[in-house]
Amino acid sequence: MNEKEQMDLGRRKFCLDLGRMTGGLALLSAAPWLKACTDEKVTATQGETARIGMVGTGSRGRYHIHNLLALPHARVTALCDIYPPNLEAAQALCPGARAYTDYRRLLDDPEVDGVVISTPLGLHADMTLAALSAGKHVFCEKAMALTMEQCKEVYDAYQAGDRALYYCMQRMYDPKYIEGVQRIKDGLIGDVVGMRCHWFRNADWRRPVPSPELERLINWRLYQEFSGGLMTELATHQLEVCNWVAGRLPSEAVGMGDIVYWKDGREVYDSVNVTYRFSDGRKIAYESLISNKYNGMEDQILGKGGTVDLTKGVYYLEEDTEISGMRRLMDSIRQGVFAAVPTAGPSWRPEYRNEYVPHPLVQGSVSVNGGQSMVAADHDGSDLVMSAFCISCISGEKAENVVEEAYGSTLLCLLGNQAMAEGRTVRFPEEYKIPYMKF
Amino acid sequence: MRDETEFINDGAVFHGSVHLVMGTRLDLITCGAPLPEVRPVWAALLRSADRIGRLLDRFSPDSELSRLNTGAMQGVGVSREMAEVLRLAEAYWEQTGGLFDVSGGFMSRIEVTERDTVSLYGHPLDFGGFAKGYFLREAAGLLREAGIKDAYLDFGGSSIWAAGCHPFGDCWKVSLPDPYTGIILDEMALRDQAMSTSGNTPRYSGHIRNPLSGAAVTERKLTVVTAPDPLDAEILSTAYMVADEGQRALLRLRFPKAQEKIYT
Ligand SMILES: NC(=O)c1ccc[n+]([C@@H]2O[C@H](COP(=O)([O-])OP(=O)(O)OC[C@H]3O[C@@H](n4cnc5c(N)ncnc54)[C@H](O)[C@@H]3O)[C@@H](O)[C@H]2O)c1
Repeated sequence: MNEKEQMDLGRRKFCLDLGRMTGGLALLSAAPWLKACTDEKVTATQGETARIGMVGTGSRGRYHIHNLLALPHARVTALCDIYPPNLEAAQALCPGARAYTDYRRLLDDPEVDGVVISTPLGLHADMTLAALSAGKHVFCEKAMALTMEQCKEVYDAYQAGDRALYYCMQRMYDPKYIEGVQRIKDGLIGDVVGMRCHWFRNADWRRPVPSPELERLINWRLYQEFSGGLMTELATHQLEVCNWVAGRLPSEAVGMGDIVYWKDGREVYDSVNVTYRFSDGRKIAYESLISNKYNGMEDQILGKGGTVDLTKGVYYLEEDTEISGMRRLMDSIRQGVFAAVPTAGPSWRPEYRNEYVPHPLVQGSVSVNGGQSMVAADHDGSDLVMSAFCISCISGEKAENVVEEAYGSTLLCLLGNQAMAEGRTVRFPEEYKIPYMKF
Repeated sequence: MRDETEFINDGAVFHGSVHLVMGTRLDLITCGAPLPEVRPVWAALLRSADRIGRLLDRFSPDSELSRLNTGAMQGVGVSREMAEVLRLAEAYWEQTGGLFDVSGGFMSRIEVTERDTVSLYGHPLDFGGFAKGYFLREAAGLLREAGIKDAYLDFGGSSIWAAGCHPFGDCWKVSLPDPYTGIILDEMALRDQAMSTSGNTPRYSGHIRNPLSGAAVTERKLTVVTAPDPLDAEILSTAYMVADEGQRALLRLRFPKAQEKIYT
């Protein structure tokens, strides 16, 4: 293989190999944003490179740098952070890149095509708006912004312009989610009757602070001026999946949030339970608690005929022929009867309903994320989102529905926070509805 | 892997089951063999399944196959068994005229050297239509060596090895419900025979592709192959899913001991 072919091969790893997924091209209708990273798109950008500027080189920013370094169609040309140790750590990874301490200077840099924003949530809106108006393509971390108003402002600016905007909602690019959602839409578990998502950890969500005045900069997650707490940091991903599966958004939310265990001066809840209701009565039960991790992280879609756990990439059927065939055979032997063993087929009712057998959703190896890391999991789709973004930086094409999905899920997180803060049922506000949304 | 065992009919019948092995469930029933004979065989079967799982399981990121598929794709040293499995898969590819292809159509490009190095050139392998049969072939041998004559081994409901007979019959009877309607399409009598089914169901369709054309089989179709060799049965149930009339004739010629039934 010559160098070019080798590069081609390397590059192909960074598009989604739809051909090997059961759903094939049909998946593009379940996940239209993938159109930005098909084989053809990758080939069309052959030989070109996206020049990327990083704003925020903390833990997530540096994780993205590692993904970028592995991409043949990307080069990190600029770095920006206000915290010197993090900027220096990024410079060590990208020795050739120019370093800035003011992100506006980075936005003036003509050798930056696209900007990756991995800063505290409270800064997302200003930075995204400034980057778009500087003519840059933008990849921003989830959640979209800290308030509904800011989200709408970003959404409007994006709609009015021609730049690409991505949000790192990696589940949307994770093969087990994509295939799972497609198969749910194909009727794998019958009618979807509800959803249960949770995220449990047992840790204080803090990072060590070298000197007290840095507390809010480093532990921004714990303070309301920067963070929406567990809802915007964790639930965003999971609520997006619910919207994606349902093809619509819930219209109201009710919930309770408290600081149960980590009473250390933080301003955000360490325990949240929010119930979202769709107009037809179906519900999303959302729960997160960070002082017990027994239940781990799960995104469960409940159907009349079965359950899909998208986090693990498996499904369970309410009536499972695999079990019942052998049960039937054993029962007939017990009774001294010579009966046929029914093989795989849908006709049997299992006697043991609690004996659910997990069936894999995806062919081939899948990576499962236990949800305990604050930074990232390997191959969870984040690398693909980044690859797609770089392709967009080269082609100039916007990704379909990514901003809309991020907008919807961020608004639901903020709605949940509002419901908990006000202790009442809150309805999805009319003024923040966008044409993409169905209720 | 956690297994469960039970003895019924005053200890005359043993049932062992385990999931998840290779992404599915495995059941063994033996008849007439005393406990001290059955236990070590069941343990040996679990060890084989575990070993083969670590070699070929697509669902485990740590299997040798997953690592081979996701790692460097040229001149990679593999285990002796992996190299043998690849040669076996290549032999089946030749015998089936390319209809069975673990690389989904690129077998001619894949190289396995005598020094057990492998070059995939970017074409990941999938042993989904192979591994169960490979295991059942080995398992049938283990049962035979242990002198267990009557046994029923079910791997995921779609691959079966039936040795000897049911405690109250002269064979093992297997019925085949239509996955779309539940109506029994057929009943088969197996005695020292393997059976493998392959096909589309309302819940799961399009997962088998023709390696020669790349097209997915999406029609309502079910194939059942019985053969004295479990691996032959396994491979052929996939090959018959994609074979046209002429190719079926070739398969019949090359595998005279196997019998196929195709339901559309
Ligand atoms: N998608 C995911 O799964 C995922 C996972 C982890 C974090 N994140 C997101 O990534 C973002 C960053 O999280 P993190 O864990 O890396 O936080 P972090 O605190 O480690 O990093 C944030 C960085 O931003 C820098 N920063 C703050 N203000 C700045 C400014 N005005 N200009 C330039 N840099 C500034 C900080 O100095 C710090 O280095 C958050 O939005 C978070 O939600 C997403």
